[in-house]
Amino acid sequence: MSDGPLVELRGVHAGYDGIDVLHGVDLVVGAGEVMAILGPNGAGKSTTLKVLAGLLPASAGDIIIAGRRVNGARADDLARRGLCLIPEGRGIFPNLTVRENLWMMTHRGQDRAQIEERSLARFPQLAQRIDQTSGTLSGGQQQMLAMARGLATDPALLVLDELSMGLAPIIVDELYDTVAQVAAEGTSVLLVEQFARIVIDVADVAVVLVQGHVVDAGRPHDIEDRLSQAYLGG
Amino acid sequence: MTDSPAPDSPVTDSPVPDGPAIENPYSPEPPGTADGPDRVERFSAEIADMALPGGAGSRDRALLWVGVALMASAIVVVIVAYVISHSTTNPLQQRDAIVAALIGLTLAVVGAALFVRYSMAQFLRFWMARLSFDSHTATDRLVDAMRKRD
Repeated sequence: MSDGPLVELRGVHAGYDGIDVLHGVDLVVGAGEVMAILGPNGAGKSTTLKVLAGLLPASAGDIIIAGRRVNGARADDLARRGLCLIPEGRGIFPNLTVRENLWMMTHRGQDRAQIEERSLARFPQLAQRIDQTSGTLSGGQQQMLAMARGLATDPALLVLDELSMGLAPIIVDELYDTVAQVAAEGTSVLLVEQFARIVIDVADVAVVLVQGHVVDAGRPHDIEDRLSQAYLGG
Repeated sequence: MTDSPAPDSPVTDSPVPDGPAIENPYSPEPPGTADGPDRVERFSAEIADMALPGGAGSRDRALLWVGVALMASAIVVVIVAYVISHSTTNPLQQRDAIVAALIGLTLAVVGAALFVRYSMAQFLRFWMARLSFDSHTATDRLVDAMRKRD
């Protein structure tokens, strides 16, 4: 086991069609830590997560996971080893039932029964809709399903992209309670939120990303006052 | 549930049926999960063992281009053999040209086999993405129709 941080990005550049979106991003996430990446629209938050998850290649810089440089690693290889990305838009299969969606998560070796048991223990609401087509669930239930799928694999690193997107505040609170619980169990969490104040109480550390640069970092409560300045480009 | 539906997904928030509370048959604690240090240790070990590209992916691409190169060279060899056989009346030289043409044919078959084998993965990936998109669209249409009927 490496004693250093679980995830480290060093000077990462990445973008789309040859245009860089990230201009030298540096991040360090410790084992069992919850890090929030905050920033306005278009800051490169989701791009950072994609680079880390292996969905987008870094054009420069180092991606280091558990002490190993993993630039170019395939997303499915990382997922099999315990990096779980819950993307913006949830990434569930809308034409499959809740149960079938859960069954998709056997890639880490658990059988279907274990996956179901683990998921429904954490999200009992889903048990009542287990045979319902997931596209017909409410937004909150779909996000619960996405989280249930991810957490069923017992990931070491949970990466969440805009968990609160399109959801009512009460559901968002409920989901972030689960994130806090998962973190307390020892899973490292890297999350992206546009609405910063939602994650102030959940995150151990936060970085503010603006136009592909890390402009601020520290404890969430410490940087809370400086957020509006960063968002408004002051 | 009181949450608002996601804007990007078809949603009909069908209510939980009234009646006696449904007992959750599942244990409150997720079973079989490793605790924090164990999980990190296992993760670190698995990341350390992970094969990084430079291996299979780039080899596949290289073999695909070897296939293309073999097919192209086969065409050249066959044309040269044809020209040789037509430019002489010496049966020995014509037989050499026939052998060269057969070698060209072999190169073409081997090249085509390599090309088909190593381009198939890319083709299947595209095909699966297309299937997934079609299926998604069909579901959206179905849910829309159900909502309109309600």
